[in-house]
Amino acid sequence: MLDPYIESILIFSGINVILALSLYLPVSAGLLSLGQGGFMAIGAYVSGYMTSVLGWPFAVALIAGGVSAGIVGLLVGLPSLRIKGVYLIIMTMGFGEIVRVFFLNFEPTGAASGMGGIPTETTLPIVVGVTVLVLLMCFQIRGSRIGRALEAVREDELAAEVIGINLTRIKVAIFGLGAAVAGIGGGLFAHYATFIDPGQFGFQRSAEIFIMVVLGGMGNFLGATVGALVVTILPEVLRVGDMQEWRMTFFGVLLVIIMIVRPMGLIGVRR
Amino acid sequence: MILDVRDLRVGYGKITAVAQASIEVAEGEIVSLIGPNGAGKSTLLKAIAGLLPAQAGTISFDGEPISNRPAAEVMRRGIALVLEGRSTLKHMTVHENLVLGGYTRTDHKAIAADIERMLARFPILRQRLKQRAGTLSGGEQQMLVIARALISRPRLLMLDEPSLGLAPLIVADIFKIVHELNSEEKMTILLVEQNANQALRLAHRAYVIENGEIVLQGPDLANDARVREAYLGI
Repeated sequence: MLDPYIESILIFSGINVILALSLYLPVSAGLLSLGQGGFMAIGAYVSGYMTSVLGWPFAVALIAGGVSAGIVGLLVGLPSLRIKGVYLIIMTMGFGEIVRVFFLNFEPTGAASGMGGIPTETTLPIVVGVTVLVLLMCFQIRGSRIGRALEAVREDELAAEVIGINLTRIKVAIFGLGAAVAGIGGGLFAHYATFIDPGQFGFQRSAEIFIMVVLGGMGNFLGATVGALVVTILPEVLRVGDMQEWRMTFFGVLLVIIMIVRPMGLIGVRR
Repeated sequence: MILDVRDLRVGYGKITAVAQASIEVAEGEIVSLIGPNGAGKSTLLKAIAGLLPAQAGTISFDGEPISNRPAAEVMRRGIALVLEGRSTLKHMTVHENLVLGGYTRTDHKAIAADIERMLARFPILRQRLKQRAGTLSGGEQQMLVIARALISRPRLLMLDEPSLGLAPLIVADIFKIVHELNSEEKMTILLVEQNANQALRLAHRAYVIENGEIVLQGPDLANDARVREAYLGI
């Protein structure tokens, strides 16, 4: 039997890799989001409600949570992806807050007191399986016609447009796909934590996901993966001896040093 | 007429960049559009390509209206635009750039054959195939974007200032390529240039645009007294 502490770190590592990849997908088209926590919340609440209240099977609930988050991603993306850069970041932040405040006031899912009684369904093999599937998907996209189109959009929108790439369609699609992946990550999280409340999916969560991707490198999906692993495991490794209370400070210092030494991310090409 | 632009008006907010411009291009022609900086040449091309909205007037391609259609659709109908300033995807390799040229096509084998044809036509690109496009010289990048545009198999190729910022020898190369595309492959070309001398020599017909309006047009503008004084400096 695996030590429960180690197992929990591994499960959180997997969930965080999925969340980091959910941000990497839109980033691959140059779309930065500080609202992935919002999509995660939708996946967590929808799937948690389905298993705990409606008694649906976990697999169905997990997929439904991802699909719900993906649909919201498409709806949010369609009018808003004309804006770029800093403005898009602020817009996605606003979206994340809207979702948090919505669940804070939504009585059927417990409002501010949160939603408990979600069955423990998320096991290590399931997390590993889903993580591998998402990684495979990213790998497939990367070498495909769509992957090249995403790279072109990220690099030069005007050039991409004269090549015949429909900017709106490809941006909305990849944003929605990222949202769906975040929703699945949220579903896995809910069925491991068994209790969720809106505060778990607020700005801090979105920022954490953002840090994973920037730290690992925005250039490819392995960067996001490594970034997620570092952000999850490093604070645990720092739990040694008398450092306990100072470990998050130390973790912050390490992040600063890494970004100074490797501004393109741990696994990144200089751009 | 393969391209028929009637009374087109294009602007940025309250500023009108092109007012009531009408131009025509027949199949197999090279048509040049010359004029000073800020006259509205690039704006006109971008509006035809669907990158800017037409505020008034019509654009038809092959007899069908294409004004205010999305750029991706205009491109699929057979109009390729080579943007000003060498719009290669600089972080992607030469090969990736060429493959992207076939983005709107689905006949993968024919795309590969077209890429091969382009490499035969522009041998320098074959030597640079695995290099990032950003590492190429200005002239090589211009050849790459022209090749990329041709891989989409356009019926009308629009070139926006292909000679801008290139050394005279390279400029001559580029104009030679434009000439060959038309004479050997019957490509219809709409060329925007500041290099009036070369552009007029190359074209079957030409238009002069000033302050957003077409002020002169004809097959023999190089001998027009006003053009000679204002654009050719003779």
